[in-house]
Amino acid sequence: MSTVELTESHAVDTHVHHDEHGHHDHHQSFISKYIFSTDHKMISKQYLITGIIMGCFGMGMSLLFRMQLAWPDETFPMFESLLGKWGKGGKLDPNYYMALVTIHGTIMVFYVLTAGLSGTFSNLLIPLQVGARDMASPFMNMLSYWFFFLSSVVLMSSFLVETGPASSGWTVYPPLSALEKAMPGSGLGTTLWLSAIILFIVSALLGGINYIVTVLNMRTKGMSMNRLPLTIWAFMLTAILGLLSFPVLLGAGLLLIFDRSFGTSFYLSDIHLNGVGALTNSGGSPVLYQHLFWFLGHPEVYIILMPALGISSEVISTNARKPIFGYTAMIISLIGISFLSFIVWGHHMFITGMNPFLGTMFMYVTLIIAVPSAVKTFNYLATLWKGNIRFTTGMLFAIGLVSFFISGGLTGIYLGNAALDIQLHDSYFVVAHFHLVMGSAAIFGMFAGIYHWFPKMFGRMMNKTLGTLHFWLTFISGYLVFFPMHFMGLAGVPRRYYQFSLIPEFDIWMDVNVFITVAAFLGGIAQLFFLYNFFYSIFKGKKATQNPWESNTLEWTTPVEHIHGNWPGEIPTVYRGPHEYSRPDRESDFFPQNDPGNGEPEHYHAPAVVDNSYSGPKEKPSKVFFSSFAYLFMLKKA
Amino acid sequence: MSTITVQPMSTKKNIFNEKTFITWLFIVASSMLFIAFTSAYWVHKSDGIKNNAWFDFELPMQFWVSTVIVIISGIFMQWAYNAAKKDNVFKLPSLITLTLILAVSFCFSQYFAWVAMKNSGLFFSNREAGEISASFVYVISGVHLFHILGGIILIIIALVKSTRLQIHKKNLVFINICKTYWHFLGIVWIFLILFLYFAK
Repeated sequence: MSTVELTESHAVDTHVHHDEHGHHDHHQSFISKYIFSTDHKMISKQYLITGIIMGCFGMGMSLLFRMQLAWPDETFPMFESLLGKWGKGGKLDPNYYMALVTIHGTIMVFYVLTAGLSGTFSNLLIPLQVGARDMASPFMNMLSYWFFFLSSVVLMSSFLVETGPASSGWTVYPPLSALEKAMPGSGLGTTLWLSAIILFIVSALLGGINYIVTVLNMRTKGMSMNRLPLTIWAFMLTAILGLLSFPVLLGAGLLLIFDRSFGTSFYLSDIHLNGVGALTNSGGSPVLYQHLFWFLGHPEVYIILMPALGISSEVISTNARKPIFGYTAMIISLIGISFLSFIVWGHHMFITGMNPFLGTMFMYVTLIIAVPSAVKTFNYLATLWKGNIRFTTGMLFAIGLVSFFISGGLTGIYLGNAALDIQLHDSYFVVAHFHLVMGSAAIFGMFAGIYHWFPKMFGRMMNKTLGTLHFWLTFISGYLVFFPMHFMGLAGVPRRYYQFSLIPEFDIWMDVNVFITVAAFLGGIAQLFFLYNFFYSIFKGKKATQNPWESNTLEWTTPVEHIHGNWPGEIPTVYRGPHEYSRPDRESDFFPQNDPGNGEPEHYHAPAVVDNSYSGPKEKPSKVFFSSFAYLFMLKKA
Repeated sequence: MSTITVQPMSTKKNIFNEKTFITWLFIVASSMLFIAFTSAYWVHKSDGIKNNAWFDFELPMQFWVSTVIVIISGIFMQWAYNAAKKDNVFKLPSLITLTLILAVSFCFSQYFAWVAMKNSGLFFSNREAGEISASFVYVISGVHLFHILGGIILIIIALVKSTRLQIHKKNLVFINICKTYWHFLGIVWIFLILFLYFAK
């Protein structure tokens, strides 16, 4: 019993634990149960629902600006009623178009796919799958959620500001973002954006520190690192990436705040602003911001993607009824991706006047990422190969992730080329690439996780027919929206433009833009099925059984009704890895991690036990090391 | 490996106390922040020299005074920790108070250093290309000072705890966190001042 350190000085007996927390279990008020909850399962639900709401905003914004791109000359009375002065006469204001693009990106990257995905599932699964009563610090965990919530509110409140929200792109590059007069959104909107992001960083750090400590420190008996489910590996490495990269974004943001409001010129130099004249700022460099930003920005891509990869590993293995192919290779490739993610940021900046030699170096390390990514893809496919596949909704989405990961990942090889990037930079090719490989793939991982662990979160099942419909519509619309963008990008169509109808050579893309927008609406409608299914099932779904997917991992050994402390009795002990499906020596095709397997041929995988321990005189390792040199140089006789 | 598949591994003990572990991870995150600022300074400086837009100045004397203060306070902190470890609980409050006084005087020395910089015409907001080096010094020392304020709060809590005899041989967690964090801040400051001195 290692995990009841929650109550520090108390004995490990679970009854003591329960007495200690008894008042939480039985007399929780509404506020302490649902709002300021310190229970990781409740916090994960809070993260998920906030993430879904933010996702609805993000998706809605994308539909609005897609309408502008498809029908730039039409007027939509809906714009005026929805956006007020920003949609005067039914025409979307160009500045507001930029704001929608910016906030869409910010919401999707940070609020949905970082907090919504990793926040939800790290909170839910880390304690349950490693066998812990709760997080290392439940209080910090609660703070983490509330900082995230506050940050969401601050970000959304920028829509209520007269000058509109931040509109210099989700990367908020200076000088556009640093000068209040550069565009309307660079005023109060950007101040709110920066405040929101700083709150978000605090939240991500509080959460991430907790995840790492819990995984490394609070595993149950027998849960060695090589028996951890791949979800946990992914969440832990994600948290490490966040821990190392978010502070750098904080630094970048602080310097930007000083430039905006305190008169410094870290990022500003030699600027002439329309209507204002030449600015006095000098000596700064906007490229400095880009370096700092992308030092976060590239790891951030993997902060988004890796939890989704981890989730799909578990879902695919469970539903293919096969051990994951290459468990160790999966872990090594995750570690490889994590390491590489810190030394490739320059590939976002090839055309900033970077030294070509440096650019080439960044290109090489970028292309190396293809290796661990390909290992992962291969392992997913090899796991599916000849599996006894159960097409649950979660499984469909996990397979969808693999598809998007391949088709989006391949274009990464093009974009990683310093020379090709001259043509492709800031074009729709980039938009297509990252929406497939990071947007669609990660959101599919999130959906896979939601469908798979919904019974664990809410004790009920989601409807499978609606889920399947949701999958196919989303999957098809995902490809219909993003695939044509590759061709637009190759033809040189730039991203973030308000209107293409005034540029004759882009006229041929008009119909494609309409097509993409229609497909995007299809995708939007598909999400309505999900929303209905999700919220209906919380209250009215079919009651879940203990282990609906016949999975091996520890979370399915907890009672369906959530209790504080997760397991009513002792925490289960772990006897094997998480993926022992379809063992030929077992009746059932799964073998839970906590099943000691009595009465079974226990030594199934075990080679004969050979005593290979050293029996001669023993010494300290350091002494052995140093004296080995003495022997080597004949100073001592053996 | 063979036996592992059938038998649980021996009962494991936690590698670290959770709170200590959290402190260390926080230290990692903070270090990244300082690494970001110092590398920004470094990159910016080499650009600035190329464009003839960089200006070096002598760090004010007060910054060196604060270096001495932070070293002495670190010694007192360690002394306090050792006393707690030896169960000399009645020595503790005085040692922690001395640390606290030094910590507060560190803040003042930083403030006076800024005043000295201001008086010699080096402002935070710069209007000339060269002055950006001063802005960096303000930001770097300011962010460090912000961390010091957190450290002072920890020391005050430790002081209260020590007077209530809540820190002793068997309960070293808090004083250990306090000591770890304070040493971290001291080391960061020494690193920063040496960096700023030699980088110019």
